[in-house]
Order: sequence, then C-alpha cells, then structure tokens
Amino acid sequence: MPERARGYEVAVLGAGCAGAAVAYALARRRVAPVVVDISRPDHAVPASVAVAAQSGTPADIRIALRSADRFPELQDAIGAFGYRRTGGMTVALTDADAETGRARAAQAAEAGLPVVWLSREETLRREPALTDRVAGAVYCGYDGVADPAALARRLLAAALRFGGAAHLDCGYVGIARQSGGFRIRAGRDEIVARRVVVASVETLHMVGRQLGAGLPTRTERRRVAVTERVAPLLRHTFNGIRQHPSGELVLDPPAFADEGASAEDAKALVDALRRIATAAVRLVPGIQSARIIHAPLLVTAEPADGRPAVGRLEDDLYLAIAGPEQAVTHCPVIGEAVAEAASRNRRPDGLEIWAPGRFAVAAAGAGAGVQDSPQGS
Amino acid sequence: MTATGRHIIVVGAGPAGLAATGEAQAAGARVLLLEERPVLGGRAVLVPGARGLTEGLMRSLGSAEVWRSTPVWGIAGRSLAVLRAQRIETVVGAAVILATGAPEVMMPFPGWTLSGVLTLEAAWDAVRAGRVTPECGPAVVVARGEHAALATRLAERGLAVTLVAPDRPNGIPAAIPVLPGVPAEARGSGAVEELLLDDGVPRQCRLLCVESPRVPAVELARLAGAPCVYQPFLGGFLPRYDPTLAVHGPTPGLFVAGDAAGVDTPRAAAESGRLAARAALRLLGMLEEPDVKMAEARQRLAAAASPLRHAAREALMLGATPDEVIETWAPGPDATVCACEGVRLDALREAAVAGAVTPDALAAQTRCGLGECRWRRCGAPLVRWLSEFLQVPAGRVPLPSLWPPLRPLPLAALLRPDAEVDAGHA
Repeated sequence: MPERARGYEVAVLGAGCAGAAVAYALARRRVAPVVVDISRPDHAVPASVAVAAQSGTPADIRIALRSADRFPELQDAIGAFGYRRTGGMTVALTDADAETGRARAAQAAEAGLPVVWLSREETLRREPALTDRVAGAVYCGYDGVADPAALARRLLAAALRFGGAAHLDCGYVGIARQSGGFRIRAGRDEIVARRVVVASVETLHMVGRQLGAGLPTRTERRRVAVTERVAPLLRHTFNGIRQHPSGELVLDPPAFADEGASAEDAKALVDALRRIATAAVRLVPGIQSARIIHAPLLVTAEPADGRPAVGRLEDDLYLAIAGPEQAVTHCPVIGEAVAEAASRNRRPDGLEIWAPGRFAVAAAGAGAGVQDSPQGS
Repeated sequence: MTATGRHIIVVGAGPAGLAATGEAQAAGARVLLLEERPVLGGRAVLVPGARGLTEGLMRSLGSAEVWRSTPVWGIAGRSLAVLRAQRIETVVGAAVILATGAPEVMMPFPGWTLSGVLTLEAAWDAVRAGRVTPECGPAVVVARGEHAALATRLAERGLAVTLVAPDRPNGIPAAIPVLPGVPAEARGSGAVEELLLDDGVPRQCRLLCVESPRVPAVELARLAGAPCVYQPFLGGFLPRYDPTLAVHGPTPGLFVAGDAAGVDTPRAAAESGRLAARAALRLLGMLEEPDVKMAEARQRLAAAASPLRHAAREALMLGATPDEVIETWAPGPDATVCACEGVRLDALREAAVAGAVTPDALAAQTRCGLGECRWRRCGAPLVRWLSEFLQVPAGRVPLPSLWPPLRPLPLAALLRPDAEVDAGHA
C-alpha cells in the first residue's frame, strides 16, 4: 500500500507521442505533470511516420502545417528523433486518379495552401524511382518522416528534465473523481491530480468505464511490410511507401484496412502481403528484388471520424487522442493546445474540427453518422 | 479435411521429422514433409554417430511427399505459408507436427562476428560442402566430447588444428594439441587472425569453430499462439505441450517433436517424432490400438532420452511451473550482441539503464534484433543477459514480438500467381 498519495496539478494518462507532447508542453509552462502509462510504449515497429500534410481537407492541412513548422525547432530543443522534411506525394497512376488529384491541388491552392499538382515529367524528376507510367502527383513540400519511438522518448525525457514525473509499466491504471480533482491508481502508487489529460485510446476506454466519459472510437487492423535495407532509392513519402533512414522500405499502402487476420488460414496473411507487394511494385518497379523481413499486424485506434480529439471534454478532464500516425504528425500542436487548455483554461485556436464536443453534437442530431466538417476553416 | 487434403504436415526433416513422417505414412496417412535445407537429416547428419540413424529413417519415408528447400514463413491455425522455388504456397494439414530442431546459437564474445568464426554446425556444413582447404588454417576447435570429432576431420583435410577442451576427448589423434581454456577474444580485421584464450596468450587462428548451446527453434509455435516456458535443461524457451506432445494454445492438432520440444540425443528426437506422429494419427482416428501404441512410444522415448532431460520433459508435459533460474552471462562491454545491426553490449546496457528493460524496448532504441535474422542469433543471448542484468529469472524476461515472415520473403515471389495448392494431390 502507498504511504501517501502524491499530488500533482495535471496527470497525463498515456505516454505515447501525444501524451509525451502534452507533458513536455506542460512542463515548459512550469506546470509539472505526472505521466502514467499501463505499459511502456515501446513501438515494436520502428517505422517512420509521414507528416502527411497534404492529405485531408484544407482545415486538416492547415493544422498539419502548423506542426510541420514546429518540428525543426522541436528537434533542436529535445534532441534528434529522425525528423527530416522529405516532401510528400500522392501519386496518380490512372487518368481518373490524376483528375481527382488535380482537383484536390486546385482546391488547396485556392485556400492558400502550399499544395501543388506535379506533371508526369516533374513527378519523375523529383522521384526517379517511380514507374514511368505515372500520370502525375499531388505534392506538398512540408511532408517528412520521423521516428515515433525516438520522438516519444525524447519528449518524455525533456518533460522529466523540466520537473515532470512518470509512472510507466504500471500494469494497472484506475481513476476516480474526488473533491477538487481525481485520484489515480498507477500500479502500486496512488496519485492525486486536479486535472487529467487522457492521451491514449486505451486509457480513454478505461476512463469511459470508470468515469462514464468518452467518445466513439474505431479500431483498425492492417498489415505493414518492412523490407531489408536497400541502397537509398526513395526521396519522398508517397502512397504509404517510404524509406526509413536505415535503408528499410516501409510499405503501408492505404485502403487495405481490416485484413481479417484472425482467420485460421495462412491465405489471409499471404493475400495481405500480395496486395502490399503488388501495390508497391506497381509504383516502384525497382524494389522487386527487395525482401520483406518483417510484416507486423498493426492494431490502431482513433476517434471514430479519424480526426484527433483534442481539448476539454468536461470539467477538469481533457483529451489528447489521435491515431498513431496523426499523433506523430500533429504532436507539437496537440501538446501546445492541450497544455494551454489544461494550464490556462484557453480554448485552442483554429482546432474546432478537433473539439471533443463534436461527437455529442452529432449524437444529438438526427442520429446521422459523424459528418466531415465543411471545407475550409 | 477434404478427400484430397493432407492428413499430416511435418515441418523439419531432422531425426524427429523423418521418424514422424515414416511412422505416419506407414499407418496410411497422406504426409507432407517440409524441409528448409536442400538436404534431409537436419543437424544429426553433422554428428558422426547419428548418421546410421538418419539414413535408416530416410529409407522409411515411403510414399510421403517431401519438399526440400522449402522454408515455412507463416502459420495460422494448421495452415502454413511456405516459399517453394521462389513461389508462395499455402498448405493445410489436419494435423501439423513442428520438428524445427534446435540450431546452435553462438554466445557472443569480443570478435565473434569476424568472418572465420563459426559454430560447429556451420563448420561441418563448410567441410561437407568442400569449402575447407589446408589454406583455411590454422584452425582452433573449441568443443568437448564427441563434438571434438570436427578437429580430427579438419586435421584429415590438412589443416593445422588445435583443440581447446578441458581434457583430451576419446579418439582424438595425439598429433592434435589439446589446450584448456575458453575463448576470450577473437582479433582480426574483417576475418579472424588470432585468438586469445582466457590465459591472455594470442594464438594464430584463421578458422575458429566454437561449440555453442543449441536453442530450440520455437518461432513457428509462438506464431501459432503457443505459450512458452523457460526450461534451461532443455535448451531455453519451449512451447508448452501435453504428454502426447500436443502444443497448448488456440489450435488443436498442433504437435511439437524432437529438439524443438527440448534438446536431447538424436535417438530421443526420433522417438519423440514417433510419439507425436502416433498422437496425430490417434487424433485423426487412424491409429489402431491407440492406448498400447501410445504407451509403447512413450516408453521408447524414455529409454532413448538422457535421464535428466527426460525428467525435465516429463515435468513440462505435466505442467511444471517455469524454472526460476537467474542466468549469469555477460561478455565484455564491447562485444557485439546483435550481429545483423552491429549493436554492442554497452549500447544495450545504456538503454537498459534508461529504462528499456524488455527485448522490444531495446529493439526500439538500439535496433537490436531488427536485422535480417530477427532475433535468431541474438534472442537467446539477450534473454540471458537481461536475466543477469535485472536479476530476474530468465523465464520472466518477455520474449520479443514476433511477426511473419519468419524468413526473408522476396517481393518478387509475392507477385507471382499462386501455384496450384492442395489440388491434384490424391
């Protein structure tokens, strides 16, 4: 049994990229947080994550650009986490895809965003490894790669240097309201905090069970393939394909969600890898000779509409929830926004589409599914 | 099971897999034997005394279908994904026997990654392939007992050989000098040039063959969801199995046999293969007088096994609690632990001090285990070192996450259409 519960101003539940970013931003504001995690996020899949600024609506892109702007200085402040601005593309192979891409680029350009349509020749000039059958590409120079494991570790270490505390590998985390805040059980330790930031879907579900607060989430399973190291080949991140600084190719083509991997048949596994290989080689014929050495099944969870949920949920309960890739892409903005909200009661600017309250509004509506927010902001 | 399906798939053609295949096909089962290497016999072909055993077993294969050079890289339930002649295939059996053996895993010491430093298995392979010539010497063989026979063979090939062993094993010619000691460091640029034993005296050496612990290959069983338990007498982590060698876990009809169920003699491996085959046949209703046959197979296994290992295996079958031994193993700080990624022990220690105390966390920080061999070489040493470093029983060190493919899979193979699978086999 604990001798006495330690008291903190803010407790952050979840030590992934989002949680660590919030802890770092709080610690820099001299609000020493305590970070609690059931396990220790060890990112068994050391894959870089695209700071995919060119996807989504102009409102999404605008937020992603804010984060992309801050990554270089963040890396200077907390130490290297493998961030490089590589530029990113969505490559079109067919005329129909090209038409869609052109329209998307035009729409973004109209909204004043640095997203352009590249002709076939320009696409091949920037990314010579692509098949010469490309029709063109949507391009954004602000995309990049980062190593999520290093990012979370550096953020957390920096938060601790500024006076934060951490309870990792707790094995169990429980929470209850008490007057003036929360009582949190973190393994054998007990912590008292005035405010709580929920920073992982796992803890969100726990909070949902124990406090009855939460929002709808969705879980996806997908197979990602990592190859052996190959000579430097790819300059950009495109269509879920990227080259890790180590030389490994990470093949994570989109739209292959839910592989039904629980099937009692190796065919499901083979089919998933065939689809990944076919999509990747169709875009980059030169990688045919590479070998897959690692194909983990990723189970990712995020708010049901795919957007982060960031801000105040109710009373003294705040959210910093995002899917694993979004958590990396947006962690500077998530950290700042939640720290401002939890330490100074400020509502984050320009993040209305991320407001946790959006699900309550949708639920109060005619029972329709959650709508994407309107274009523009 | 369909009329054209296979009754039993056996993975691995060492003594256990060969015996299981022979036993099952003699009972009328349709059997498919999968072997990763181009030759049958497994590691037993490297032990001079076991050659007669494997040759006899190979003659008993009868009508069984044998696929050589066919690594199994994925498993779901009782269906296996294999790579055969640069094509991907999936095969399904009503029962699957995992006889994947126990490869030698070299325990790292400074310089072990230099070229010319080999396990005994790798050295025997080179000898058999005719790649060892007198110019490869001088050689040092570190081995005990019957395993020292490699030194004799190298001397016959014309190499200058020194044997490092506590005493002179039987049958070693007097012309081969025998020294006591353990290898402390191998030195050289790229390839080994000299060896330091623990007496600190450098000796010229261009081929260093080190007898290494054999570690059961449990990757397929783990991928199939089998819980594992640490039993140092049997070589390390093993899947839990019952007295019929059926693996605990989500999949019925999955069996383990041979050194993959605990390192033992080649004869014991063959007998455990027979036991697993009879258990599989009984499950399929193809075993006559099942109680008598099962009891007989268990008796024969007991007779062939070494007593200590047999006791350990029996305890495992009856659900013994994991062994609580804390391993002691620590090479020099500048020893490379993960050869694929070049991760040294001091880097691991630094990460562990900073809180990364599981293999997965160490992998994320140092890339240990993330190279081509995926923990096959560094997994066992890392578990031992973590046990020593954390002072926790080795059996409580979590195993690293494991994903398919278990062998590197060429993208080109995935692009080729399916070969005809399961059809046409009557």
